[in-house]
Amino acid sequence: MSDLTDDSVLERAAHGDTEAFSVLYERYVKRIYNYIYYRTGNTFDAEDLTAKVFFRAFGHINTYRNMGVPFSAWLYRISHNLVANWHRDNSRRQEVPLDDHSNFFPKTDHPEMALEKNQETELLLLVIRKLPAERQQLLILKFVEHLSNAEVAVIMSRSEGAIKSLYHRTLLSLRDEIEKTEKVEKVNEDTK
Amino acid sequence: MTQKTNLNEEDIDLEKSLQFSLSPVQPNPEFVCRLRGRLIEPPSIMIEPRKTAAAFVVVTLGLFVGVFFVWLIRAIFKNN
Repeated sequence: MSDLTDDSVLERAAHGDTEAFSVLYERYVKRIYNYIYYRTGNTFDAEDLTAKVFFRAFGHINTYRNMGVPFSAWLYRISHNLVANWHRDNSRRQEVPLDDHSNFFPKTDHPEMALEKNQETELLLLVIRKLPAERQQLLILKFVEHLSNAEVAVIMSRSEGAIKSLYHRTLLSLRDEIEKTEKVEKVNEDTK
Repeated sequence: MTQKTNLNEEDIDLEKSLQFSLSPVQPNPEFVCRLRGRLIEPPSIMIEPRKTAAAFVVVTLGLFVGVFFVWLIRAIFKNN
């Protein structure tokens, strides 16, 4: 069954074939987890929300109608809504920093360089999480999921041109935000 | 024009940083496996269906007995 296209597997899953849903789960669980992980910033909530996404998808698979929108877009929309609810519910709670990313850094003979790179990454992730939700979504889909502008456009229900424009504006605001954060950090260091 | 070129170079640098920082993460395989099981296997806890008819009979009987006792007590006091 793993050789079948999404549409064929979906049709079976919609008729209550749990094995078919299992195939869809295997295909998308890592992508959805990654998306939620970068939006929430921690493993615990990423696992909890990923489970909720697939339970919701499983519960409504019989109502899913293929209107030319890929199944992945449907899953991303569920994820986007659940993450939005999560942020709303936790708005009063202090933000949780991203888990240790040291596992992703290439091993180098220069620990100082690695440390510097690590700090740079932490700063960038911090700034990304300050961006509006749709800009965060765009960056995650492009850089974590490696999706093209056309694919991102389908998921975000926009035209390809609108995505290109949004991407350009996102880079500009990201750079401004990085400069601001660096200035604040420098001032803090000088006052110490 | 020079400003635009600089802007593009800065964009490219920023894209490189993004590519480095936003690397895909691997979910815990145990979590992936456990969630698959929870999704596909039927739940072990069964919810008992509501016994609406039985509840209706009990409530009606209770009301009937209550009204009967009130009527009985009133009738006794009336005779006295």
